[in-house]
Amino acid sequence: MKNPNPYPHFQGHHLIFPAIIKNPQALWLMIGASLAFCVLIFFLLQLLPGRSRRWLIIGCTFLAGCFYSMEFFLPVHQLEPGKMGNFLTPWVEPLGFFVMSMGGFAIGLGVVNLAAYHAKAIAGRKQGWENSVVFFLALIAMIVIGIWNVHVGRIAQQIKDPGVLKAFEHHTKTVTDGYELLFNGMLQPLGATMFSVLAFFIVSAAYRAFRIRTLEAALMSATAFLVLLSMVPLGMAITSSINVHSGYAGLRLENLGRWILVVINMSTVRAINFGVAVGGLAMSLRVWLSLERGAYFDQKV
Amino acid sequence: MEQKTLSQRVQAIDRKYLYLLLGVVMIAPLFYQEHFLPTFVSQEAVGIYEAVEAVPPDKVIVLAADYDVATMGENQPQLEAAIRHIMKSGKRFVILAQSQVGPELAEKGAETLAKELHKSYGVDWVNWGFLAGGVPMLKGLASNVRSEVKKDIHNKPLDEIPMMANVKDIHDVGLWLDFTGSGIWGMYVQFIYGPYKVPLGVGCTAVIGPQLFPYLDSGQLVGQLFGMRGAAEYEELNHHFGRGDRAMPSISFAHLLIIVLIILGNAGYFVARRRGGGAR
Amino acid sequence: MEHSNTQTAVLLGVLALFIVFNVLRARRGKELFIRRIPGVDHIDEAIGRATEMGRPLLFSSGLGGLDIITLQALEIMSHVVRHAARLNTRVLVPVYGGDPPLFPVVEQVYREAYVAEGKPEAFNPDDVRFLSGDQFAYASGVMGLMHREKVAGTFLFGYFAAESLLLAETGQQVGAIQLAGTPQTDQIPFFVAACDYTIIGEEYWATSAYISREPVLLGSLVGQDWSKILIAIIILAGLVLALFYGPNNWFSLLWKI
Repeated sequence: MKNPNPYPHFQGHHLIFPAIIKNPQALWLMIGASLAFCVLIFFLLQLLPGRSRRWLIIGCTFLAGCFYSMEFFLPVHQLEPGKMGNFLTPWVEPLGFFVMSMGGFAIGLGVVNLAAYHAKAIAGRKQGWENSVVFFLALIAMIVIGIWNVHVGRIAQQIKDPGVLKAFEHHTKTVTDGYELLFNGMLQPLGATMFSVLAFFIVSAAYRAFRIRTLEAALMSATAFLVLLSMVPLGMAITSSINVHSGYAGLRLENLGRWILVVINMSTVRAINFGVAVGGLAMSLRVWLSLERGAYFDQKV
Repeated sequence: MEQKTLSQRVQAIDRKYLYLLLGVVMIAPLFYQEHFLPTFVSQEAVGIYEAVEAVPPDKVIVLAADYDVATMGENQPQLEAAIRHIMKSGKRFVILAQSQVGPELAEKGAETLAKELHKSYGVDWVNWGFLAGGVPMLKGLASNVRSEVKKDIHNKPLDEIPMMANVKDIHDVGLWLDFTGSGIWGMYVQFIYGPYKVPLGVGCTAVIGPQLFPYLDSGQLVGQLFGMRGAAEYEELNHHFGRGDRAMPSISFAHLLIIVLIILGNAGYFVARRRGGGAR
Repeated sequence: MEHSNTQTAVLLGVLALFIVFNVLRARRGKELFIRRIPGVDHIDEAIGRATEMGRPLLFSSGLGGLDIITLQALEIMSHVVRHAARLNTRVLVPVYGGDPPLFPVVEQVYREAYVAEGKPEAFNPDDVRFLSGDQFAYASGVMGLMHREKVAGTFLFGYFAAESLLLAETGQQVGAIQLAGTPQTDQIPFFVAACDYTIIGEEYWATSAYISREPVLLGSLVGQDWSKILIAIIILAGLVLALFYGPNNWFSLLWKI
C-alpha cells in the first residue's frame, strides 16, 4: 500500500507545515523561493558597491537574529494541547534543518584538506610520510567497509526468505566483522585509551603545579587535599569514628568535602557562570547588531 | 655536571616513574576482590535511589545512556547499579541514547543483569536505541513517543512489544535518569524537567560533577551519581558488591598517591629554598 | 525555558540596553578604563619566545562549532597570527571537524591575518589543518603535532572538554609556553595546573577588547559590568527579603521560572 504520508519524518511534527503535508507542491514552492532569494542576495553582493554591500550583510544578519529573538520574546498561546508557542514557533525546526543542511555542504572540505596535506607529504617524501600512507589506508578502509556495511544492512532488511537471508548474512559476514573490528575493535578502544591517559596526566600536573609559594597556594592545596580525601572511602574512613548524628558530624571528611563543593565551590562557579553568561549575551548582541570589531568582523567586503 | 641534591631530585621526579607508580597503585588492588573499604553513601545517591522507589508501577523509568566507550568506565557501573535496583523493585525501564554506542553498551549491561535476575526483554525493559535530532527529537518524543521511535534496537515495531502498550508520551514516564560525561543533561533539565516536571537524575563523570550542584540545590535534579564513587554508593544501597565498589580501593590509593607526591614535591621545594637554591 | 516571561524579557532588555548604551557612549569618544588581564599581556611574550627559538606556535580553538565561543577564539587567533606573521613565525592551527563550516572560516581568518600584515605570499595552507570530528582523535592529533613540530608556544582558547589536560600537559612536555582561556568552569582547573597563564571565565570575553582597545568593545565591557552589578543587586535583594520574609516572598516568586 502506498504510504499516504510522503513525508513520514514530519509525521509527529504536525505543527510544522500542515499545508505542506497536505500539499507537497507548497514544499517545492518554498524551496524554489529560498533558492531564488539566495541567488538574488549573491548577485546583489557582487553588484553593489562596498558600502551598500556592508549594509546588505548587516541587514541579513539582523533579520536572521531577529527571528530567534522574536520567537523567544513574543507572547505565546496554545498552539495545540500541550504545546505553547507563537506564530514563529512552527518555523523553528525547519529553520534548524535548513541551517544543518547548509553546514552539510562543508562536510567534504575537511577531508579534502587532510587528503591534500598527506598526499603532498607522500609525494615529497617528507619526514614521517609512511604515516600518511597509513592515513590513506585507514581512510579508504573505513569508507569502503562503512558504506558496504550500511548497504549490506539495507539489502538484508528487504530479504524475506529466511534461507536466503542466512546465506546472504554468511556471505557478508566478512564485511560486518571488518566493520566491527574497525569501529568497535579499534576506534572506540583508542578513544577510551586517550581518556584514560588523563589519569596519568593529572598526576604529573598535580605533582608539578602544586607548589606552596604563597598563602593562596597553601589554602588551595589544603582544600584540594580535603576534597581528594573526601571523595574516596580511604579518606572517609579517617573520620568514620565521628558519629553521624553528633554535633561534630560536619567534621567528617565526606561532609567537609561536600560543604566545600556545595557551598564555596558552587557559589563561585555560579558567579563565574553569571559573568560568562553576561559576556556571552554581550558578544551575541554585538554579532547580531554588527557592532563586533575584530579581524574577522570589520574586513572590507 | 653539577650533582643534583636530594631536594632537587625529589622536586623533579621523571614522569615515567610517576606513571609507573600510578599504574601499580591502581592495578594492584584490583586483584584483591574483598570489600575491605567502607562506603559512605551521599545524599545525592540516596536521592536517585528514593526517586526510583517512588516511581508508580504504571510508569516507566527512562535510562538515557548518553555516553560512549571513553566514559564507560564511570557511567557503565552507574547504569548497571541503577538497572539492578529497577529490576529488583519490579519496575520497568526504557533505554535510549543520544550517543551512537550508548544503547549497545546499556543493552549489554541489561542483558547480563536480566539473566541473573530473571527478567525479559519486551516485558521488563525496552531499548529504543540511538535517537538523533536533539531538542526537536525530545519535544516530539515527549508529545508522542511513536513519532520519534518506530522500532526498537532489534528492529521490532514498538506496537509488537508488550511493555510499550501503555507507554505513549512523557506522562507515562515516572523518572528520567541520564548517564553521561558531557553536558547533555542540560537539555533534559530544559525540555524534560522544565515543561513536564518529570523527576530527573544524572549519573555523571567526576569531572563534570560540580557543575550539577546548582541544579541539585534548586530541586531541578532529584539526585546525582558522582563518577565511580556514585556507582559504588548505589551498589552499597543495593547491597551488592559490584564494579564500583571493586574500583574504590584503586581510586583511593591513587588519590593518596597524588597527595603524597604533592607533599614530597613541596618538601623538596622548602628544603631547597631554605638552602638558598634549587629547582623550581 | 522555551519562551520568555515578562520578568525575563524586562531583565534581558535592561541588560541589552546597558550594553548598547555603553557601546554608543564609547563610540562618541568616552574614555573607558579596563584593568590589566595578566594572561593576555603574555601573548606577545609567547610569540617573541617562539621567534627567538625558531620554532612554531600552535593555536587550538577547541571543540566548538561556529558559535560565539569559537568566534571569540578566532578573534584572538587573528591577533596572534598577525603578530606572528610580522615576526615570520609559523602558527599551526589544528581544526576540530565537529561543525563542518568552521574549517573554511578558520582558514579565511588565518589568510586574512597574513593579508592584513602585507604578507599574503607567506600564507601556508598546510598550517591550517583539519584533524578530526572525534574528540580524542583531535586531541591525539594535536598532541602529535606538538611533539613533531616541537612548538615553542601553545594557545588554547575556546570550548574544551576532557581533552583540555591532554593538550596542556603535552605542551608542558615539549617545553612550550602556554596560554589558555575558556568559559568552561570545569576545565579551568586543568588549565590553571598545566598552563603558564590562564584566562578565566569572563576575562575570555574581555580578551578581544583588551587586545584591540576598540572603543565599541570596551564600551560593551562596561555594559557587562553594569549588568553584573544589577544581577548582584537582585541577588542581594532576594537574600535580604528571604531572611526577613522567608523564601516564598513576592520578590523570590517573581524570579521563579
